[in-house]
Amino acid sequence: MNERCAAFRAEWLSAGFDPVHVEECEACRAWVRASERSIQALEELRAAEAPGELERRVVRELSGDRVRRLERAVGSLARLGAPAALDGLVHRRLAGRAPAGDAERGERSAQVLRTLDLVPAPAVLDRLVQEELAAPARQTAERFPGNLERLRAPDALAEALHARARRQTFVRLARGPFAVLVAAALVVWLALRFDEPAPRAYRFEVVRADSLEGLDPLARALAESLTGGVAR
Amino acid sequence: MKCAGGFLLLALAGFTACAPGDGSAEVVVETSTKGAASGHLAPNDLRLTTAHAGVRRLEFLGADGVTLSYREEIVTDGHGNYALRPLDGDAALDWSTFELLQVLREGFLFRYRDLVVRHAGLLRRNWEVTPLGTVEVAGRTCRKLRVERNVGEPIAYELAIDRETELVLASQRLDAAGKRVASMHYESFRSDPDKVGVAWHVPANDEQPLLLRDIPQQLGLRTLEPRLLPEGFVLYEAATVSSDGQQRWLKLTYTDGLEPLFFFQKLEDPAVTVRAAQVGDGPGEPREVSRVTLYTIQNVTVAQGRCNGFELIAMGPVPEVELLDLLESALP
Repeated sequence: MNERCAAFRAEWLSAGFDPVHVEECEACRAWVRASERSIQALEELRAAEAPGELERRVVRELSGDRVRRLERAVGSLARLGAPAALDGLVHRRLAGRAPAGDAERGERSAQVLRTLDLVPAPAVLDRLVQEELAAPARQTAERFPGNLERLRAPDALAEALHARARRQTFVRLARGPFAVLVAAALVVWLALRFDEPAPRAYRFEVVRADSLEGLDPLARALAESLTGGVAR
Repeated sequence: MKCAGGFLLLALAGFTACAPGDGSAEVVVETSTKGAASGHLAPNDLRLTTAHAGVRRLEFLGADGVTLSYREEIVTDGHGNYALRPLDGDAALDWSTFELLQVLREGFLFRYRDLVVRHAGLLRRNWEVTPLGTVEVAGRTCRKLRVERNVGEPIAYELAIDRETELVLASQRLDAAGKRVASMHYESFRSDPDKVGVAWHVPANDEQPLLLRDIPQQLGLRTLEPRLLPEGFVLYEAATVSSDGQQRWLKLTYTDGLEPLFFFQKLEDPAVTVRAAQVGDGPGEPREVSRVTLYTIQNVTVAQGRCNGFELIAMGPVPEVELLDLLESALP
């Protein structure tokens, strides 16, 4: 390739070539054909898209977010080991000292706890614990019914409501056996009634009243207000 | 559905929140936010910041099955003032006496009878909100919600909340068995109330808000505080109030988000309390008996008595055993 060839190829690439030279020079004709195939092949290639993360990062960098740069800079720092003198110092401090056992940890905890204000548990807890131990079922029934699992109405409820008439028929048929069951339950309840647990041992006497008479006027007005304004 | 309920709950928490002290809303909020419940109180009771007027019907089912029913007019000026005026009621009512009592109880009725979100955080924790679509009340479109308690007795409310103002225009209280025991329903609603001639409520019990912590130090007296509360309740308001203009009481108000629960202690000369507590310590001297009188009125239990020398009252919509436990847990 001589200087004319080089000039021709530069001109060809800039779309202003010499048509006489390409007729005379076999090498340049071959180069032109090869270049045209390459251009065609490149034009057929699909343009690859930049990843979205790149765009976000560029936006962040341009907006002055230095976090990523700082992360990269910190991440690239060489990790330095602790100086040997520090290792030696720690070793000397720990030498001859066994790890704290449960007893030592317990004593330390006790020392910390002794510095806190002492707040005694309310006496009522003693009674409640005793009552719970004596009759756990009663405690659950009286104090914690709200803790029982709450069941959602099944989807079939609507369908069941549509079949109400059918159920009523069934109820009429079952009324006899049901009455027997109720009577049996009544007998059981009467039997259990005589086995009622002892009244609770409050630290005060509990007297039931029939009216709000005797209540402080302020508390009485509040109680009546909570219930809508019950007439006296 | 749950998510939608959550959004509605937030809205609910925003419109009727934190009943103010009688005529001193800002003071109470300021006080409470300094205390243990800080950061949870919704900032305003929308009834006080939304001027409106309306006639509403209220019904309450008594334990004897008899329903108390009456109508009243409510007017608020949007600046903290409010007025409730009884209009008419059951023929069986001695209306003139009832009307007079309602006027005397106006502050309590507004603050504690009406459904109010007292603590938005507890409401989210202790209650479940379910949207039930829309409903028309007093000619206004309202969102209908069901609010059911997750702890303790499974009581529930059904509410109609005005879309525009977020005010509760209708509510029903359902007991654990699903029976309606109380209801409120606006029959008419105006957002431009005629304020001329309205007799705004004037508090008569000289309520003085307290910080929620260090109450004995604030009062310079030995005070009691319940340490065993019904599940879901926390202290959210402390104050001193007067009864008959003479005797002062410490008033601690607890809530589970919606329902109020009260503990009162009469503030007496410390010497009186000490003497009362020591009666009986001398030889041959009869010991003072601690006695509590218990009374249940509809869903509210009231206990009042003198225990260990302290005059105490506890009151709230909780079972008897829980209220007595609360009272006993306050004793030294």
